[in-house]
Amino acid sequence: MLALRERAPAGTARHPVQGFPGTERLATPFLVYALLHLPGEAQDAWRAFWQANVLLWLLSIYLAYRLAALFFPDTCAPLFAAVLVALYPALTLTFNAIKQQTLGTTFLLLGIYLFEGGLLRAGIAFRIAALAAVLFLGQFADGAWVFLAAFIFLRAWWMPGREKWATILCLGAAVGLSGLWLAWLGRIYHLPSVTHALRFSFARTLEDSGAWLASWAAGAGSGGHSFLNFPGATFFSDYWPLICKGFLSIHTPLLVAAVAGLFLEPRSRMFTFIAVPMLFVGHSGNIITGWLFYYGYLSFPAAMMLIFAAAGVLGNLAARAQVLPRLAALAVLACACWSFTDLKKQAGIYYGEGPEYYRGRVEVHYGNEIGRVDY
Amino acid sequence: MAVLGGAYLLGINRNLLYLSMLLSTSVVLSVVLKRWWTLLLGLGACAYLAVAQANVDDLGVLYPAPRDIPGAENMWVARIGEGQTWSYRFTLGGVGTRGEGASAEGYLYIDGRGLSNLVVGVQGRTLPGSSYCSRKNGLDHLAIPLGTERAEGLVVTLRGLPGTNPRIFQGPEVHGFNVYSDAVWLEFTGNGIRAIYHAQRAAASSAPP
Repeated sequence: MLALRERAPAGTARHPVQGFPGTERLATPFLVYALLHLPGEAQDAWRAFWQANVLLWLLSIYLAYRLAALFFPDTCAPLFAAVLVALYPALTLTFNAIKQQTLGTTFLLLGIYLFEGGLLRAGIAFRIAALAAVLFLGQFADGAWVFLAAFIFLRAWWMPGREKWATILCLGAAVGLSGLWLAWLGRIYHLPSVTHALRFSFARTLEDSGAWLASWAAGAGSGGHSFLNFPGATFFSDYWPLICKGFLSIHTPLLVAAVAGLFLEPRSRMFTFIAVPMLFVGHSGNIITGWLFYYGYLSFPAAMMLIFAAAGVLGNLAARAQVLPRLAALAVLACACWSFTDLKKQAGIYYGEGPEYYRGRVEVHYGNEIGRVDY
Repeated sequence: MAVLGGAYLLGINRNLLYLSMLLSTSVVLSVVLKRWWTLLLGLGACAYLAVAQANVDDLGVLYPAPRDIPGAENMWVARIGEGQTWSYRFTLGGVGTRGEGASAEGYLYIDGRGLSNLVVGVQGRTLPGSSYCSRKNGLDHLAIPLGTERAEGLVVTLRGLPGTNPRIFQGPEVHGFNVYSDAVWLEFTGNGIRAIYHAQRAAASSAPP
């Protein structure tokens, strides 16, 4: 916040952006600093964090409602989407957070709304400029720009031919422009970055992955190479099964509804298909770090796709005249929401490892003190 | 955009990073806000943010966890000095008899740096840290099996090999007014219960000759 509060030009600024990752989460202090401009808030930055989290939660609910209304014609689907996002523990669990890992997901919803609600029909030049500005801001929002760029790229394949290529072209140009914008600022402000701090190189990783593939194709095993920064075959044997297992163990009701939508609601299919690559994109940060861990919050972009798919099919059922489909829709909604209410499951969703890791009773004993703390 | 540019040119605010973020926010608002008065309000807010400075309290040192900072070898660790022995007395109180079924399996865990050079004493047994050392999130991690320990108390001592200074991670557990600063703890798991035991470090003493 002190770096944002500076008024001096880059060369004479006293407070640099610090931390790891520093730049990739700068949207959080930006948001909190903006809130600190409100009258009476100057004395309590911690309260501003809480306010920012509540605002993000409300914004996510609103955006989910509006987005579902853009994709599904019935009146029920937006309500289902809003209810699912409101109760999904991604945001409610973290009202007191200062890290705001979920900012990327909220920004993804905002970006999709901007794209679908306005930029999709705008002229090419304006579309590129506006998209570049959105992606630029997304580079500070916990990977949001990657989530949004991936969504728009995948979404383009559901568009007619000419529109598809125009969208991909605009996206490519916008990604390039926003990247150059940040690179320029990064150079004059010496902004820290994750890839630099971890000495990660995309070129080296791709080269090593290529060598791994060549070695594997020749039947020589991994040949001492890594695939996507995971040594040997651990990407396939450990990493990807861990991600899928963690995701499936938590999002099963949503996934079942989304799969039913493949047959019942054609408009929901796009979201169901996109959910799989979005799961990969969401967890792609692990590829940079090489850490073998299921970070639950990295599944949120994929979960949002499932929420929209489920909302579409549930809305379709609820809008029917017969009582049975309506009851089925409400039952599935209740089942999905019930699965969100387990606090230990919420911990699993947010922190990772899966809910089972948190289900056991935990006792903490402190030295010779009488009594203990139970969780 | 004119206000942001004006703020820069007039020298009111020359923080290009902050102004860039505000410019980007303005573009987002101009696409989202459809009614003229909401748009005016949104862009006005951006202009205000560009020229007005808010007070920011010192929130204290909010460093990220040490594992997140490559190269921070000497941060958040306490060094065991040459010739020093640190000791911890854990009060277990019938850990092996709690619940039904199989007895709880226990481990002594230590996080830090340079723990291969650590000599660990457990109930008088001397164990080399190098035999139990692995990496966990960028730190050295010792996991020493205790089996089904049934003693009421357990004494752990730590010292470094001659000429070395292993460092113990400072991951404070706070309970009431007591601080348990060192990442040296016991865990017993069994019967659906995970019991964690902390102990305070006794005053460092000189090693026997």
